[in-house]
Amino acid sequence: MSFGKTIRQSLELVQVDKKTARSVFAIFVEETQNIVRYSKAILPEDADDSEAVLRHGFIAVGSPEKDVYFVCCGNLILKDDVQRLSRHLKHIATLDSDGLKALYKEILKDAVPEGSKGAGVGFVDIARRANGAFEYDFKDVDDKHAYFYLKAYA
Amino acid sequence: MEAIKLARTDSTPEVNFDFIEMTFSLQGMSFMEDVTSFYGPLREKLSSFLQSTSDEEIQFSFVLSYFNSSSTRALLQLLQVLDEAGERNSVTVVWDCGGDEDIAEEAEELCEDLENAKFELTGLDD
Repeated sequence: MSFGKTIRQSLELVQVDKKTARSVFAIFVEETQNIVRYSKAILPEDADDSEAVLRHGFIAVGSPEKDVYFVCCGNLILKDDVQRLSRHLKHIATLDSDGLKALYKEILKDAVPEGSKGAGVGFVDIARRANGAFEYDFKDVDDKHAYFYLKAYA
Repeated sequence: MEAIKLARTDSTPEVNFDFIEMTFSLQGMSFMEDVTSFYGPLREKLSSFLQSTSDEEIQFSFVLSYFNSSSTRALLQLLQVLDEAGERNSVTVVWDCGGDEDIAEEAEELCEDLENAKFELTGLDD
């Protein structure tokens, strides 16, 4: 996570206000941890997915205009997971800030969901930091895999 | 029990658990990759220590400028341990937000379910 430090220092250099800087940084952390924990693009390619493998994906921070920042990411997922993920994100997108807060607390109090290596609240946190300004997409790659994209504005 | 002192790193906070003075603190940022292996042992030690305490003054200070979503779950579990100990002791959870209103809000949200432990927010200018 040392490139997290790079992001933080860069934001200081361009003098982003504190709140935006923290949002960019927080979204960056959540998206990176998603890739590291769940990406189905692994190296070595023939390794068993349950082993310690290098999981890869992409993450990018951009600023299309002054004071507007986004963090986008993408990684390979299993087609079998598209529906579950899509349903989760669709639900999150319908919630206002109170709804997001309630869902955030609800998930945190539950046991860690099966197959989850983190808290299972990453997307809710991203949506809260982005004030609901996020978009996502799934693209089929082959018969087993799809590519997942997420873009969130800080 | 021997004190726990851990220096801060890029992604883990400084830890000071003093079981004699009964003051505990976490300071810095928290977004480590493996939350369980960092917070699990801390929570276990705190929990087993607090189980044998009663009528004590216990203070836990948080000075965290950023914690990610998986850390939040671990922090909630720590707060739960403290709240349980608050049934038999005087437990104060102090959160220093360093003048940052967003952190103050996050701290309040995390601590709003405390029933026995007292919550004190410090570091706001007014």
